[in-house]
Amino acid sequence: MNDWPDKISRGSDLASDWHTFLHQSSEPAFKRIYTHYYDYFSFIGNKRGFHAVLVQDTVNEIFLYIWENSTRLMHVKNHHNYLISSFLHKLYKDDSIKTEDIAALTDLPESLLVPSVETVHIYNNNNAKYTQALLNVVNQLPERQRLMIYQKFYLGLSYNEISEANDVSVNTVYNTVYKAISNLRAIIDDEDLLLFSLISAFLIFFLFFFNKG
Amino acid sequence: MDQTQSENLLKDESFINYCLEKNENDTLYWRNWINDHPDAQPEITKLKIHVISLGITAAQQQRESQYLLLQQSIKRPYQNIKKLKPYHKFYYAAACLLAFAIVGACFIFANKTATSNYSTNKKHDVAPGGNNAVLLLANGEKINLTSAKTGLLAHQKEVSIFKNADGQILYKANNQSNGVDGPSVGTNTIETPAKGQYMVVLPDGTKVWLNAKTTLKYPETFAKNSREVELNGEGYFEVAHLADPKTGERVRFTVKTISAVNINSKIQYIEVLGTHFNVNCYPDEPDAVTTLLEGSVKVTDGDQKREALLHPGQQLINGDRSFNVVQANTDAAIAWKNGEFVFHEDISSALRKIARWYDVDVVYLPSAPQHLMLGGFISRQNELSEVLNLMESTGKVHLKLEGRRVLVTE
Repeated sequence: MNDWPDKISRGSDLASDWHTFLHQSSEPAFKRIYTHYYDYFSFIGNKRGFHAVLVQDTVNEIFLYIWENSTRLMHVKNHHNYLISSFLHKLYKDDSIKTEDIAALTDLPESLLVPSVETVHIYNNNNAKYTQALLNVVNQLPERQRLMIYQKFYLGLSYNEISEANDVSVNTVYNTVYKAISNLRAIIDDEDLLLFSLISAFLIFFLFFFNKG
Repeated sequence: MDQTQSENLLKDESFINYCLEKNENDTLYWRNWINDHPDAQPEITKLKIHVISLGITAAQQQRESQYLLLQQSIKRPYQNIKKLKPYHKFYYAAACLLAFAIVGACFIFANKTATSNYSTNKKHDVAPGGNNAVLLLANGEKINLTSAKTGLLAHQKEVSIFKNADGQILYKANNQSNGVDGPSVGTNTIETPAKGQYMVVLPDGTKVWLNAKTTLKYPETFAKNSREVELNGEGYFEVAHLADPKTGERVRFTVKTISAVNINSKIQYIEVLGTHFNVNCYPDEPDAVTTLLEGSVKVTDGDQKREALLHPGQQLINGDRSFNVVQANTDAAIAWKNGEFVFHEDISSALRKIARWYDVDVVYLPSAPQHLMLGGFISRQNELSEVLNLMESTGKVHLKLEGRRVLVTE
């Protein structure tokens, strides 16, 4: 399940995928674009206070449209700007969103959207058993709780933003986040798998400090 | 580090931000913290791995399941989608109506029980605050802005002060002089009491809304190359763009805030060009909070050691030991300006807002809940008892109004 790419992709890196998708109707390329913009749009939509379900539906509507109308989109050279502005127009349901607003969102700092190199490194160095245990924990979570874990531990949204996006109290978010972590700890501690990942983490930690020094 | 401590870390927003490296200030803070607490490092590392790995796994699963949904709708025949749409709308409408009906019923029901239970608070209620402020001129003259008549209020050397029909006060330059070269002549001060709020248009066109118990000091006329005001309390600023007629450069606007929380009295400088932002620096609040809605501001602390550049939607929390930039709930931050209380906070923080707006004292009895997070909103035009009822509807706290005191019990 360690299929996380070593190199972090950016929206603009997907230009070749966009081209492949338009000219060859390639599904893998389409999926790569989807995967990237799913995070991007979830971040923007939830930040702007839209309901999480509405944001998800809008993302899928946009991509459904793109899939069905790929031949009509041949002229779109800058897929990044095209996707963001069509997402925002759909989300706001009208033209109330200003062009400078869209411009500001098209170059959102990368650090807000994708995990840092160090975190990806940590993840890729987890051992297989740990990764499997993680998957089990995540699979056991109800869909809503998984969404909140995603919003908190991946998108890095604040508790307030998450509570607004999911229509629950801040306390519920706290408890969900905390419960998921303690589930994970219970499983790991039971099987005593942590040792391996700890060693690898220490290595990374010291490497990091030596580099700094 | 024991179990509870590490569990608390997992709920800590700044700790999670450090794990994900989403926020420079938090990352720096925790790196320093680890340097100071080397024995906690193994536990911290362990927690960090959990946070990161859980996040990435959840993200993968989340995308996979959503992509699956997308594939399903791609494979569905086109006509079906068309047909379904009107029904969808009907269901949405029906669901909305039902939701409204339920909410309405809850409201009516809750109100009934609330008033019958806590009618004691209703007997001697406290009315909300209103537009109320005092203007202190450079020559020591005091003008009560509430009772003053519409029209000319005062005639100073450089400017005349008017009150318009809406009750706002306006500054007009006397002889087309747009600012002076040297330091300004005198200082004007606007003070809002407890239960007071006021909106003022400064000589440069900048609009400032002042919350209760707030003092704003500003020069009678701004200098040509810089504008400086001093704030104590809470204010929302809409700074006017202003360019120096000679150089064409934008004229800086600086807000200096002093909050006497720390012994070394916390001072901070907020430097802006033309923008909308809210500053909360009450002496009784633990943190001075600057929330940016538009434009950009730079905040520097008193001894110039730390500074932060804010982007719209961000908030700087300048507290006892923290100087953190976080994503803000902007609606909650400027709710007071729009005549609302929006509670997204601890009960004690919410009660401090109430104390200032209704001019009451809050007394915590020993059984009062220590940490109770509140969420909700209500208009500031309500009587105090309504607001207290809303807080009591959590079922975890009792608030009793005795004269000018609110007693907090379990």
